[in-house]
Amino acid sequence: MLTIHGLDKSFTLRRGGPPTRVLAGIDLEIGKGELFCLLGASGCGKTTLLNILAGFEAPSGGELRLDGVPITRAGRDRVVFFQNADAALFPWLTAEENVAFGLRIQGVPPARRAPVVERYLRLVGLWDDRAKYPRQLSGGMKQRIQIARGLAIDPAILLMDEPFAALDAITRRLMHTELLRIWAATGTTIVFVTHDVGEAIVLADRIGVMTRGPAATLKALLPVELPRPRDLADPRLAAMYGRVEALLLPEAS
Amino acid sequence: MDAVRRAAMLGLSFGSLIVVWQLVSTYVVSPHLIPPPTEVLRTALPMFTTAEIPRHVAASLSRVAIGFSLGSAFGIVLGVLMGRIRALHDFLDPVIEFFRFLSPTAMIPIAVIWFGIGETSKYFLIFWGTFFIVLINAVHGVMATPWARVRAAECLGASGLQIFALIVLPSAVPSIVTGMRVALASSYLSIIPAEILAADSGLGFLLQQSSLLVQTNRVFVVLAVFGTLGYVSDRVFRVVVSRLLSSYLEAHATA
Repeated sequence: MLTIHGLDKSFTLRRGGPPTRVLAGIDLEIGKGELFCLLGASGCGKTTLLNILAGFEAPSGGELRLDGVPITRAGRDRVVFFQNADAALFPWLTAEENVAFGLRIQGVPPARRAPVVERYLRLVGLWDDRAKYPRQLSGGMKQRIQIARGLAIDPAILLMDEPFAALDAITRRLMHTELLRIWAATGTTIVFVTHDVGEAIVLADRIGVMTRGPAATLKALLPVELPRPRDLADPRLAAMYGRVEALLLPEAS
Repeated sequence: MDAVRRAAMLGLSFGSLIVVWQLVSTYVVSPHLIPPPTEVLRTALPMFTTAEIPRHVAASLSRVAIGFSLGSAFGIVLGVLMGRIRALHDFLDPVIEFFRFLSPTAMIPIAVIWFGIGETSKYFLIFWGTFFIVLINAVHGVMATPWARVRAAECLGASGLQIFALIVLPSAVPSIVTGMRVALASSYLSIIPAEILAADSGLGFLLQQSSLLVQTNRVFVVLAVFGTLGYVSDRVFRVVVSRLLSSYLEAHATA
């Protein structure tokens, strides 16, 4: 369980300038195995929140715990998944070597990491492409390699920062299906940051709608109690879309 | 097919140069100023068979090789450290920005005072011309490592040392190689003035000697040999580097 209590974050944008309060008292609990979508307009601070959860940035105030243990820095229990796969993957390593990286640097011998790497490459459907370099793969395939690379070290949480925003609409739809399938197969907790209402509704167990920055907080927590796979044409989903959008519209800047 | 086409273009390019050269020296300019290729070739043959050219080529080449290797090695080590250690960068950067504008040619007089006209002064000058170029490119390569890549490795459990060795260094390879290639060209640019002013061997020395005796044919031979040397060195460097480091270089071609 991920517990966030009274989380505050202030930045000084200019040297010597006044600090800007980016996040103002966020309280949130995310359960084990939950797929939680953090939804907010651009610039509201959702990436900052994700960076704090990852341990890349320290909060200015408040408490963060993962299964009771305070989060202070980046750790192998939380894997971040980046939007820009070209930057995030290791381009001089093959797909297989990318997925093996986390185990390799821990000193897991090749014979023991091979079955793990195979399992996750098969899970994301890229076993046949294992010898290819990232540059030889499509955008969606690169993102699947990133997922496999993260899952291979068996993290407690996958933190995803608008992971599919750079993909075309059809590939994005396919990736949603893929992600749900992978999530169902592994049961990993996922925190998914997005500004796309439809994406949040199709994926999430619960949606956290953020207010606009600065001093952003959580405006609403909405459970999505629709059966999966979710069809955008489903009238219940359309009704949900209307509700979420109505919450988000005043927060657009 | 591509290789055949490239070889054909290479032949055509140099072939045309020789034809134009022959025509110009026959019909336009006095052969005393521009001797025709046939004359130059006639002068060149004994220079090769008496080992005069090979001896001077060896002298120049060993100076370039040693100075360039030392300059690259020191440039890479210090550049990578500067790229990684902010305080070191901020401390050294102003001085380096100052020294890099002192070209190797500008350093010849002081090199002669310090090291005389022996080999050391040439090693020093080539080192000088290589070091700053490689250093600046290494610093840039390290600093340009994408944040997401470093953070991804951090999440996967990499230690500071592992991030440096397995992520930052490989990410900097293309920039370092580019720096070395520019520095290699710069080495060839600085060896000639160094040998003209302060040497008793090498192609620059031979060039100067032939010029003083108004042996235009010999000047042309040396120029042709020197151009070929630079061209071939660059080719060899590229082939060797792309063989050794292909996955690091190609990886970035589309990224």
